[in-house]
Amino acid sequence: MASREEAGAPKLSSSVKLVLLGEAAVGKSSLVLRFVNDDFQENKEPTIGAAFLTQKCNLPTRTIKFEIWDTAGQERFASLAPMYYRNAQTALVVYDITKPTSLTKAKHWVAELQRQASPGIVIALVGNKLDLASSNAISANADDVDDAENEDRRAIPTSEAKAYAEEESLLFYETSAKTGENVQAVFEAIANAIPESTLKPRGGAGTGMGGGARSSANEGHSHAVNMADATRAAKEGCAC
Amino acid sequence: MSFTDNPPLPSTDWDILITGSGIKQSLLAVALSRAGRTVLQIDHNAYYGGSSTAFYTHSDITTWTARVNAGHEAGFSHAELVGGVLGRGFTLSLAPDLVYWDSALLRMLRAADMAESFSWQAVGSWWVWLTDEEVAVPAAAAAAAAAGGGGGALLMDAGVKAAKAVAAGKKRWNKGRKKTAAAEEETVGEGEGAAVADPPPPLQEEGATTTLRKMGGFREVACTFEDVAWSKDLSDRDRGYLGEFLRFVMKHDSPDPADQKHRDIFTEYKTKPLTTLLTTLFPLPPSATTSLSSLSLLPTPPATTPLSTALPALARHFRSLGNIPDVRSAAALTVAYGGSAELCQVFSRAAAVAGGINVLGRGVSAVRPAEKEQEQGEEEAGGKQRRRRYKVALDNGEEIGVDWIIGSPSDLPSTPTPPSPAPQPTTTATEQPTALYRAAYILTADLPTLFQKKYADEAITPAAAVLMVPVAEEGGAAVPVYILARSWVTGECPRGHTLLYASTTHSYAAISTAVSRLLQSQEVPPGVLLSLFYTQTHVSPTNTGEDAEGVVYLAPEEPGVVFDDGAVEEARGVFGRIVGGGEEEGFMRLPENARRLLDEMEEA
Ligand SMILES: Cc1cc2nc3c(=O)[nH]c(=O)nc-3n(C[C@H](O)[C@H](O)[C@H](O)COP(=O)(O)OP(=O)(O)OC[C@H]3O[C@@H](n4cnc5c(N)ncnc54)[C@H](O)[C@@H]3O)c2cc1C
Ligand SMILES: Nc1nc2c(ncn2[C@@H]2O[C@H](COP(=O)(O)OP(=O)(O)O)[C@@H](O)[C@H]2O)c(=O)[nH]1
Ligand SMILES: [Mg+2]
Repeated sequence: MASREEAGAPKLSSSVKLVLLGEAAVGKSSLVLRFVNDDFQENKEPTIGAAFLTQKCNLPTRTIKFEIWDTAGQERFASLAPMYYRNAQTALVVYDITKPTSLTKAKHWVAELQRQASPGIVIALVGNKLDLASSNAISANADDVDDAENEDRRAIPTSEAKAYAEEESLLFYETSAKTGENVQAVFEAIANAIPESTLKPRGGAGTGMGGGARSSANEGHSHAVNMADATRAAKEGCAC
Repeated sequence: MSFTDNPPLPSTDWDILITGSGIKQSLLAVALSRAGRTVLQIDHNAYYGGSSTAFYTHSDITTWTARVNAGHEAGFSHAELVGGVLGRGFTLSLAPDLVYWDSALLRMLRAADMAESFSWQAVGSWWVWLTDEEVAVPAAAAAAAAAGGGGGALLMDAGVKAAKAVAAGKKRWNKGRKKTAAAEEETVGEGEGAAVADPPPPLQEEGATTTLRKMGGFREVACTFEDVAWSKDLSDRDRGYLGEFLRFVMKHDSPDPADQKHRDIFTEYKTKPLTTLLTTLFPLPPSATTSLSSLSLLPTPPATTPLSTALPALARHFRSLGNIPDVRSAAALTVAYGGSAELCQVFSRAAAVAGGINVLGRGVSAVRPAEKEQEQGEEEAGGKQRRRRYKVALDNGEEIGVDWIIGSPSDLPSTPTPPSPAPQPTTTATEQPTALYRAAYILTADLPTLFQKKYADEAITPAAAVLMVPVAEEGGAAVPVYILARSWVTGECPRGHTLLYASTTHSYAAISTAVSRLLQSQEVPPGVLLSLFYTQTHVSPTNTGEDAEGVVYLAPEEPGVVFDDGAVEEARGVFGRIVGGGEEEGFMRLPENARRLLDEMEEA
């Protein structure tokens, strides 16, 4: 489970909780799929059962293992629970560059994160579906080619979103989950931007909180009871 | 959150509608989604948890308080917020429940592959407020016992296995300690004899220091072998009776023919109070009786608690004690970030992960049985859609068809048929007290003594502790006030703060008395940032069970200090009724494809 370096000098290595926020259908799950599996599925149904994924990001100075929490569709009906974003060290706030309302929603999420999240949280604002903008709308896929598809569907100028991101000190990228453009770059930028202090190995007094993810219970914090070992103990010890 | 999307529902046709997001509703949402049913879970509140919710901001609390006092929160009344303003980083829970190691909840979560979805923390120690007069110093009694030979098995440390080690007439505890800190080993005298590989600790005579801690007027309740063996407050005779009593607790419901004696005692004393049994068969000093009764976490004093209620409560404690890995002094756990409030949120997310849909801020406005004409309409429309039993109008105007409606009566304002007397009520409300007075306090200090590791050989530092203060009723018996203290490592308050959750059937005044005793027991009495008082009434479940076909009224949640395992059993029962034929076994079971996904991720 521990992410050991195969070779070379010891590098900073840490697990980081990443959450995705943004209006439904902007491409949050697609970005994760692209980053984790380098894959894209047109019009795909939400994958049942896949709302927590991990992916390592190897940088020259550090190895970051992202624990990626997807919304499981809960953003749709005002039903994201606080446990979802709690303790998130990084957040991807995603909008769709062809849909103006989605940037408004993204701004709401940023405000909410700044109000509620851990002080050191790293937020990236991501304008997705870049492939639908004119300079990018050169179809890579022959099936897609028709006039409507080649139209520039961009509704949010890069400059507008960029200015907002600068104002709020957010990382900013435009991406396409479909072509993969800039997807790796967003995650690398986040991995680089996490303050070193947040990356220090945890386990000193008081940090014993698993993130609520399945894998977090094994981190050996001095406050959290290890239910994995516990299960075994329960089976052996039940003599009554 | 108010600004999130509110598109139309993805379907107007569902197998099951669940109203509310309390423990039972959320459990059923996971179980039924995982069993492949289409599940819509709605809650008229904008938050999860219902009567087990948690508050994160000051306005969360003031809004709720106002609703309670306006009579809009079923089961709650007389809410009062005292003091300052809740800042950032707090979680105030209406259900900071304890979960025993030996509990239906934990067994279910392990089977559901969900135990590790939570951060479990240890409830380390139990404390009782005892006056000096209550604490017997049994020097003379000890001498008498040495002659009488009252050696009993100590079950506290190792549960029932210790019973085998009874050695009548011996002055020493014969139960070998499995694991002992080096320091303690040294205090064990040489006198034990070379033949014994792992010598038990001697009783008081060699001046072994007690492992029981004191904090002002509070004394720690014995929870391990050495606690009892080296206690200065117990004579050897007391230890003998205590051992015998604990054996009786463990065996009172044992099916083993050898335990007939214990079952007989239980049958004879079942309806009598705990104190009657103790004074008649296991005469223990008053301090021991108070300490034992604090472990029951029952709202009634031992003088009025019938044995039939007290024994299961004590048994769950002693069956759990010593079994939690790396923290042998603990019997119970608690879930970080709000106790059962966190359970509700995680269950609802798990339901969504399994394909269910949760909607907050939406309620039911009307339910009516589906009619024949609609059946035709639907067949024309789709053909493949089965006719659903009910048409449900939601309060945003949407209408859906469902086969099953599950909820508490307060969430279902309009019922399809006038509720008839329930054929099989799922719970009985017999000895339930009518009102539980509760309070949450935020203290502006850590209480380090409460959260210290008890033994050097324990790897886990506790995050919570229980205190019991008996407060006398006017001219009557003392009624217990329980305080659950939670440290900042629960994630529920910033460093330098502590949360206290108090509850009693006595009064708000009794809570104030108990809490001020705790505050005064600290070297520097901590300040109180704010406190929230409220009364929780047990709504008697007249309306539970299944009324009309396809409508399931859940019993109201049982207020208390401990997670109510009955909630798991009730949800399991409802699940069985709905899925029927052979599928009942699949309650909460992760579908095979989801299992594989999880395993793949773990390997990654
Ligand atoms: C929109 C939003 C809503 C929120 N709503 C709520 C809410 O309703 N209720 C609530 O309780 N919290 C909520 N939070 C989270 C809360 O505000 C804080 O982020 C959280 O309590 C951390 O508190 P802290 O600042 O003391 O962090 P610290 O304890 O100082 O921790 C700092 C960082 O370390 C991380 N960390 C600490 N311990 C561990 C560990 N064991 N393993 C991994 N990482 C660790 C945390 O993730 C955090 O990012 C919300 C956050 C957001 C963004
Ligand atoms: N053209 C294009 N479509 C995308 C892109 N990303 C996602 N989509 C599509 O947008 C829809 C919604 O994507 P999804 O990932 O489910 O969004 P989510 O609701 O935010 O998780 C799907 O049909 C995706 O195929 C992208 O970069 N370009
Ligand atoms: Mg998605």
